Parts: sequence; C-alpha cells; structure tokens
Amino acid sequence: MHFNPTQLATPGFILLVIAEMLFVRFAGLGSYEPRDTATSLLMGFGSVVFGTAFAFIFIWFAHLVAPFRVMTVAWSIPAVAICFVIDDLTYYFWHRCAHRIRWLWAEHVTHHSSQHYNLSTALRQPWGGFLTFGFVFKAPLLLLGFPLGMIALVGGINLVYQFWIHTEAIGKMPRWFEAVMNTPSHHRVHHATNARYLDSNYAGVFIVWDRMFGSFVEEDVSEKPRYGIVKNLGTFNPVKVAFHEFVGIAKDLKSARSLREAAGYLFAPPGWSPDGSRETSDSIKANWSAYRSAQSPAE
Amino acid sequence: MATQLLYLIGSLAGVAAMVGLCVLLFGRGSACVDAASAAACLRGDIPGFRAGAFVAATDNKTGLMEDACDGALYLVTARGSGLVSRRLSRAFVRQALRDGAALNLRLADFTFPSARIAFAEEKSALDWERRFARLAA
Repeated sequence: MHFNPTQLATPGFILLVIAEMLFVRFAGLGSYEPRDTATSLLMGFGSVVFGTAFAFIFIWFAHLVAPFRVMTVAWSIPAVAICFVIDDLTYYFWHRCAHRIRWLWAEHVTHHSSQHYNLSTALRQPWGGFLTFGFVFKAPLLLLGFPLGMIALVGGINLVYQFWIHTEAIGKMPRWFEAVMNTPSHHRVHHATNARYLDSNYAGVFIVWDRMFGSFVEEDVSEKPRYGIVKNLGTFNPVKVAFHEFVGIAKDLKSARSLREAAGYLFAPPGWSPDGSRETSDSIKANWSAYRSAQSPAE
Repeated sequence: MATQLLYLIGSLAGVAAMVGLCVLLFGRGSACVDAASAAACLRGDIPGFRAGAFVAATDNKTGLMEDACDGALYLVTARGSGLVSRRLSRAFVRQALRDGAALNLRLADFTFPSARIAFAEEKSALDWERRFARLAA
C-alpha cells in the first residue's frame, strides 16, 4: 500500500499559506516576513529532499527490529486507528525529549527558529533527522507488529494535522475540542519563549497527553506569546538554520575536559554547561519566578 | 530522474513565487533599532531588565544597550522585521576593533554575523570600546 498523506496535502498547504498571507495582510491578525517565509519554505523543501535521501536508515532500523515483534497486525480500519493513537503517544515522548535532550534539540530547534508564527512556520522542518536517530521512538509500534506502511501512513496524517495549528488567525476552538485536541492556541504556547510558556504542550494531535503527563499550559490572553528560541538566530541562511546547533555541540565537545562534560553537552538539556554559566529553560523559569515573587511578594 | 529534477525545479519555482507574493503583500519589512524597541526586546528576553545607556548605529540596524540593574551590555540587531539580542561577554566578543567612529565586532556565534557599528561621533565609539575592554567573562 503506497499512500503518502503529506505529499497529497502539499497543494492544500500551499493554498492555505497563500490564503493566510491574504488574511494577515487585510485583517492584520498575525505576521509574515518575506525572508523568514523564504527560509521556512526552503527548510520544508530541503526536509523532503533529506528525508527521501535518508529514508533507508529508518527502513533498515525497522527490519532490524522486525524479528522481535510480539505479533503481526493486519491492515484494518481499527488497526489504523489504534496505530494512530499509539503513534501520537510516541510522538509526545519524542517531542518532549527533543526539548530536553540537546542532541535531539539540535534537529528540532530548526522548527522553532522562526520569530513569526504562521502556516509557513509549520513547513520549517529539520534536515538533520538522520543524524539524531529520533525514529527509534517508533520502536514500540514496530515491536507491537504494526506494518511499516501503516506507521508511515499514521505518521504522515499526524504531520498533516499539525499544519493548521501553526496560525495566529484562529483564536480558540470550541471548549470540547480544546480539551481533547491540539489546537492553534495550545501550539502557540508551545512555540513561545515567554518564561511561563517554556517546555509545555508537546502534543502532536491529542493534547490529552500533556494533561496526563503534567506538561499542559493554557494560553493566557494577558500574555501574548513571543515566538522563536531563547537565543534567536541572527541569520536566515537555511543551511545555518538547519545545522547551527550541531556546530554548537561540536564546538562544546572540542572544549570538554572529561567524559562527563562531553555527555552533558550531548544529552543534558539545551543550554547546559559544566559551570552553569549558560541559561537552560529551567534556569530561565526559575529567574522569572524569582523576579515575579520579588515584584509581588503577597502572591 | 528527469521527472524528479522537474519536481525539484518546479518546487523551487513555487517557493520563489510564494516569497514574491509575500514581498508584494508585506514589503521587505526591515526593523529599526531605537532605544524603545531595543528596551522592549530586552525586557522580553530578560526578566527584570531595566534600560540603561543606549547608542544606535547610524544605519539604525544595530544598537548597544546597558542593563541599568547590573551593568551588563547587550547587542541588539535588526533581523528582518524582528530584533535579535545577545549579551556581550568577554567569551562572546572575540574582538572589538575601533575604526574611527565605527566599531567592528567579531562574535563567537555561528549564526550571529559579525557586527560593524558606525556611530555618529568618534567619542561614542571610544566610549563603547572602553566598555568592551571592561566586559565581564
């Protein structure tokens, strides 16, 4: 079975980006910046090229795991539905780790590097997935015996779902929907660098995972999200955007004085340093909490 | 192979067309760095930041601002329609060379281009060169 949801949805992505541009221009809700949009679109283009070129690594991994599967699941609608839910749960854990482990962040940071939040940001996808081996998070699905084609299909649908939530043009969805599904509001929080919003809302499709595992933060209308990363990039060059964190890791590893330091630079949260002189999301949140307490001691 | 090449060229042409439409609708969207925008940017980045001394380059694309709380220095640069800031430490500023009324900064950051800040007066360049010399580690 060969059915690629992302490929099929691409014309829709293009039309929706154009529609959003017109909406932003004439309704004034949201923002676009040509160089930022160019970078996002080129990152999306490059991601397809790199993804196709290195897909064999995931296929090789799937064949490596296949002999250890506990059963073999046949194609059926209920099987696809169950696979979709489990895949979304594995996405949640991968995504959480991608924000907490620098090696995985080096790939994922690309997606967060825009200071704008619009549908073109959804297409700003990494090129370095083959370097981080993040696909090992799919191992539970393979071990449960779901066919590789089914895993690729539900992964594609998951990615397509996440496209429309990258917008400021939609405020809040109906309450029941906000309770269960990932929405533009929830995902704006995820892309924000405001201290109160950092490291939250990792969901792909179902926001219930964040509610279950304690990482959910509601969008506060009184605090507009500021988008980007803690240290925003000073370039629009797609190659630098794709690989800057890997370069940062390489430089740090060169200066590491012990194996412990090297491991810290690779696997500790982004911003970790042996002497604690750099900022991590935890230290930013702690500073912000301390500042807030100092401002209003009665709270 | 020829079909794939056609897809690649078509995709790049599509990207160019969408960027063209974006320019048409939003212009080139270049931000300017002034005291108010630099302070707003830094207040967002650093909890408790209080704007201190500020100087803008003559092209209004780069500015230097001091945190009145602890004397830390920050570089604020326009990037597209937004601003990007960096705390200036001895480790971050590899070299600060004055060239008349301008300062050339070489920075230890893969994504942050080295900055040339042209001041209106040589006195300002001298003053900020001295501040760089006193930068904390």
